[in-house]
Amino acid sequence: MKRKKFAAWAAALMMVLSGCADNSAEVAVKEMSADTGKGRYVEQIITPPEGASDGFGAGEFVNTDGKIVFSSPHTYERYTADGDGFEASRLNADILDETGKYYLIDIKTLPDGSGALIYMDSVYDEDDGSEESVPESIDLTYHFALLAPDGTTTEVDTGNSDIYDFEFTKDGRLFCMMQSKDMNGTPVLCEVDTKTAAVKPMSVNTSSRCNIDIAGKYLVLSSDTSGELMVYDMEKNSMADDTDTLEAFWKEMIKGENSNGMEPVGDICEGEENSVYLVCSKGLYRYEFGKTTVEQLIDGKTCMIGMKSGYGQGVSYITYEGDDSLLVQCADNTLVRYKYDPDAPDLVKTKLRVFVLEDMPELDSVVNSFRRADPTVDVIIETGMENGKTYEDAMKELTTQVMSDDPPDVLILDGMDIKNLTDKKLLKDLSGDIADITPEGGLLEKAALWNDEGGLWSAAGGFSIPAIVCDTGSADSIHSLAELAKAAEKIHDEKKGSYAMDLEMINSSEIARNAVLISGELSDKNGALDSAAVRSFFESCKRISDASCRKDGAMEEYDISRLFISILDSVSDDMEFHFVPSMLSSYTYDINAITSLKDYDSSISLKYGLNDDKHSFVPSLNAGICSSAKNADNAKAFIKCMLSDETQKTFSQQFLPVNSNCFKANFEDDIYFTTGMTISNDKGEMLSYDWNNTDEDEESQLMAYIDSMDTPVMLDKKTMEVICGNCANYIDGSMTLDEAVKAVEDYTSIRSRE
Amino acid sequence: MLVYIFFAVLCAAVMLPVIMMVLLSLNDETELASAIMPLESGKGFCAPDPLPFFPTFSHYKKLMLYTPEFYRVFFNSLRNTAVILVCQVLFAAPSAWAFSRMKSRHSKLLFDMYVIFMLMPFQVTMLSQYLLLDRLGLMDTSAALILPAVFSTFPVFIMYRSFSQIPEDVLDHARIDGAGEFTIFLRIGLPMGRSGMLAAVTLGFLDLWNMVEQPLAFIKDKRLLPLSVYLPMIDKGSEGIVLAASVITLIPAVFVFIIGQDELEAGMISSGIKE
Amino acid sequence: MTDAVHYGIKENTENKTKTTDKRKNKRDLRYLPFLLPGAVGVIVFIIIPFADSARRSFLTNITLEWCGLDNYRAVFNNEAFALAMKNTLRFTAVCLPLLTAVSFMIAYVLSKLIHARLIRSVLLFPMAIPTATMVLIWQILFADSGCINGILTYLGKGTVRFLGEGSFWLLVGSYIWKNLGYTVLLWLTGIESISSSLCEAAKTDGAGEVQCLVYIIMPSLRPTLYTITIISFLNSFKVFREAYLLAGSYPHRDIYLMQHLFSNWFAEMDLGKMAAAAVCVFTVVFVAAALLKKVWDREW
Repeated sequence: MKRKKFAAWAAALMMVLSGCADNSAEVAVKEMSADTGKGRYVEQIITPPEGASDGFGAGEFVNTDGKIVFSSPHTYERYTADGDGFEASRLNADILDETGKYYLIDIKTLPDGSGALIYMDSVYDEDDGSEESVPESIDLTYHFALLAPDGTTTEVDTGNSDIYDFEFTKDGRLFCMMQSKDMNGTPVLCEVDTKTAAVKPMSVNTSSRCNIDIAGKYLVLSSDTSGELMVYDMEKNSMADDTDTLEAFWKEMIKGENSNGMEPVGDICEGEENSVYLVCSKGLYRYEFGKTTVEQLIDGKTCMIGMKSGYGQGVSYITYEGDDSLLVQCADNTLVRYKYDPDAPDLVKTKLRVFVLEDMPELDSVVNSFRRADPTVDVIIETGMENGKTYEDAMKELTTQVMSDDPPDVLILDGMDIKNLTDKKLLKDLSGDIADITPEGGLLEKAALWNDEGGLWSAAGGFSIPAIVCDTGSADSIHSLAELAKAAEKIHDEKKGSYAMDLEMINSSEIARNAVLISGELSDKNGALDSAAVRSFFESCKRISDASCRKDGAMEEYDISRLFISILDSVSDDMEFHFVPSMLSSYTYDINAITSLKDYDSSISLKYGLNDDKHSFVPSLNAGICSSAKNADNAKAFIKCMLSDETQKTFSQQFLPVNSNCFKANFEDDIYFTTGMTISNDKGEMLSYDWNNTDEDEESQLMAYIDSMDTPVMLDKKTMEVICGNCANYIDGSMTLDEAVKAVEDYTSIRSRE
Repeated sequence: MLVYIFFAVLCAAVMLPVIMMVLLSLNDETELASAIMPLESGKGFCAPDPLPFFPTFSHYKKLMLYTPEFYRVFFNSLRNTAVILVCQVLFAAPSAWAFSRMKSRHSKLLFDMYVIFMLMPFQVTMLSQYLLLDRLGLMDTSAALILPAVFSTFPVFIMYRSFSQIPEDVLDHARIDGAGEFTIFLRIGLPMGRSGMLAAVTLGFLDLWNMVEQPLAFIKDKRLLPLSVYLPMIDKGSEGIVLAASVITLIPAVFVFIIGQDELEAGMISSGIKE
Repeated sequence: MTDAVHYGIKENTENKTKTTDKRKNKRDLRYLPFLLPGAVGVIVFIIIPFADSARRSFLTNITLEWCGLDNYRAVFNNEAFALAMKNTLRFTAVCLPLLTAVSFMIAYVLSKLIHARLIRSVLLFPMAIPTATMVLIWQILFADSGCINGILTYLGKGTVRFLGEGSFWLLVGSYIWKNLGYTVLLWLTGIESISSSLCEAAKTDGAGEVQCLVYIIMPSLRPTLYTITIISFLNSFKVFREAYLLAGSYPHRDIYLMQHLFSNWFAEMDLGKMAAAAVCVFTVVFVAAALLKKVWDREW
């Protein structure tokens, strides 16, 4: 009896405890326009003032009592608010007079022309015009200096540390974040006396690199990478209390924004009366200190705030103009004003549902373009495999939706068993709509409209093509994965210590996956997996792995398409890598890079596609419309938007665009951000080669392959998992070839018989 | 004597996995990683040390202090299970009582149907339950887990057994004394059938605490997931947390088991001897 | 389904009045309000969905047009279905007798021992353990590079692919591990409630231990056997959870069970086949249960 009583009490205690400790870190985001149905923030893009150069819109705002100034470190201009627009003027600082000697990193000026700046010695000698000569050593010293209205700079002595961010308060006080040069110490908050240029460290340390934003009496220190946030109260001279909500919110908001630490992904600014505004590509928010909820004012997906440039850069800075009006710097240096209009009606009339297995940032770009073009349609993206759900769970969820006659409108087929879905008549036939969705310049039809058996079931938004870069002798003998393996072994056997490929940071499963994508051997129009093909595929993978450099402790995911850089190591005698099979997904990074490589060394040859009889490619962002979709017209418009010039332009990183105009625009493109590559080899020698545009021959070789593509590689997730898992086991030696092949056979035999 | 040795070995073998789990959960990161490494790399064999060199509660600490989701899923499991069990008793006890007293062919047929449905695995009825719950607007709510489970026919079956051991004569005596059917049920049936009810509650708890298929199928919202489904969703890299969470999941089940076992056995024996 | 019998005490048939069906029905009516609330729930949440399933078995997948027996034909010709059914039946046919026999033997021995209490509790323990918690431990023990293979290799026997060819027996073992305790308990309570006077009386008449066992104990345990059979059968389906958590939705051929197939069909939107197969399974169980009852009733 006693035992029972004890147990009962313990149980009751457990229930109470677990109930209390519930929901501690949930932050409620209140959405604004849900209440009245009227009133929203209206977007207005600010045109650059006359005479302003391309850099208008870059640089953090300095806001002193409504007078807004921002300066662009790239163009040496500063812009002061002038009515609704801005007035441009040249920055006045003495260090900028010596052309090219210094490189301006950041600068902030106050309305009177004073301010502060960070600069460093320039790496390049601009007088020379080229970057051929690389200095022996590069001095990465950051200099921090105060700027007087007349242009004189006074360098501030920061000792063994560097100041990497700074802000002015309304009264002209200057606060900055300082970190020791070797990046070992934690960043510390300091105040710099603008009269004496003395640095006074305050005893506030952050654990990661944080930026400063001033909000009234609060100093908000926030990190774009770690999600850390701290608030310092200037009046009380101590850390502010009750900042849990803001901290939790910032952490949540920054998650997934992929900041590399160099470019900002979010910003905070002061609002009216003890509140702050926060912005990141997810949206614009407002928080009042002391409250437990954060209000969402604008959903990033519906406007420029959510837009990201082709290089993944999105919204950067924000400031409050007063009167419910905000200025936001969005992607591509576009300056946008958001002003609240209480009478503007809520535009959303219909909902469009998009179902995708895994989050795709490119899909977000499409949504952003679509919503800006037609604000009356709200796009809801449902991610099937979020929160640790498996592929089967996601497909079951899709099944439920279809069964209960509530299917998604747009279905992104990447990773799904497309043949099964088409057989079950789940998708709408789009053959009659081709004319509607095709953009003016046309599409690369082999890539975009590949799913055309018995009708057009989906359109692909992007694609990747396989290529192999190797010495010309080998290129002639490689026409399949098995031959690639043979050639790899030849190189490995010929000379001790020489490896065919650099696969040292890739695990075996990744090798298998890339081999599937590149060789296209396991893909068949009928979708059947041939046992003999699997066996030969596994064997080739193992031979390639054995002939290549593999080291223990492989990293999880390494993008093989960037591996081309390793070929430069062939210059060294100790380790030579000879092949680079890659998936080319980006014209700028991948295609230009390897064609330039070919130009640099004439013994290098470039071949598109591995297999001579199967010209394979990997289509991505395959969008189809559910046959029983409620919102089919908008779904069609969504696909049309996906294929349009504007959206496809933003795809320059992740896949090649299917839009002909956008694709061919790459032919003319000037590579503006770098005109050469400097790489070091094992011996520490620096080599550089010019990275230039594709020439006509290269372009026609590329287009010839694209026109001949006939085998899309579109295996569903489960099948890929089985193939790659068993192949990896075989490569690693934990299964024999027979066992591995049998495992795949068992799977396919059961699956095909279901 | 030999028999005892045999049983000692048997018991040790039976308890081995659990003991292993508890001990492993006390291993710190490095020891655990080295014990589990053969699983990932495929080389060598797992050979965890019987006793950890540096026992630590760090996984438990991490789980209980730094993982707020854990409390939520724990609470979800506890709440769902408690609600279901209470409702099950409310609905199943009278049903079992009725079945045990009713003698007609119709009632027997209905009871047989109950038993057959009890035997159907979830997957077989999954399709239509989806549709029903969807039509009722209950998808992605806790009610989707609770309602179908409340009306499970398993407790009816268990309780039936113990109710049917009550001799009709006792009831007839009560009827002669003027008691109504409901009073008979409350005053005589329930107390005498206590063992059956407790058996149903205990078995029911163990089953519900373990519920995996229904949450996976019906629940999308992360905040409504119960503990049993949370475990497989923990990232691969944090085995220590998985083990700690497993041990903690085990505890309520063990509690119920301890409480229920005494009653289970006592009730069963006594009801057998009673006339 | 008969009323449970008072152990060892035959029913007093002389006093029992023979009631007609009509009177039975009338008497039963007073129990109706007890039954109704539960029955409504059962009908709504269990019976009606199943009827809907049956309806769907005659319709096509997504477009829901009448297709007669097409789905049934597809199911009967479906090789995966045959495999799954074969495996499920094989599993049940192996596990049930094995568990029943082993647990009975253990229970019988335990009933003679003095310190049985602790042993009983220990054996019962695995039942309390949630499946998901054990998955990692099973992997550590039974994977190709797990502990047990380590020991076997050390002894020179080579690895056994517990998660491959041996997976059937792994599942059987897991099933027995989990259910042994409860089954033993059920047997024990049955054995212990047999009045010891009966056996003593028999012994004074010269009966041996074995005869005691066969002629007195075993017959009295019929109802216990019945309950054990039903519950063990029920639990044999639950083994799917372990199989799924360990081996995923496409496990080794030998443990590809009925639930795997249904689950995969659902993911692939093969709803017509699912519905038809559900009806088939129901029929099979119905027939089996009816047969079981007939056998029971006849030998009564």
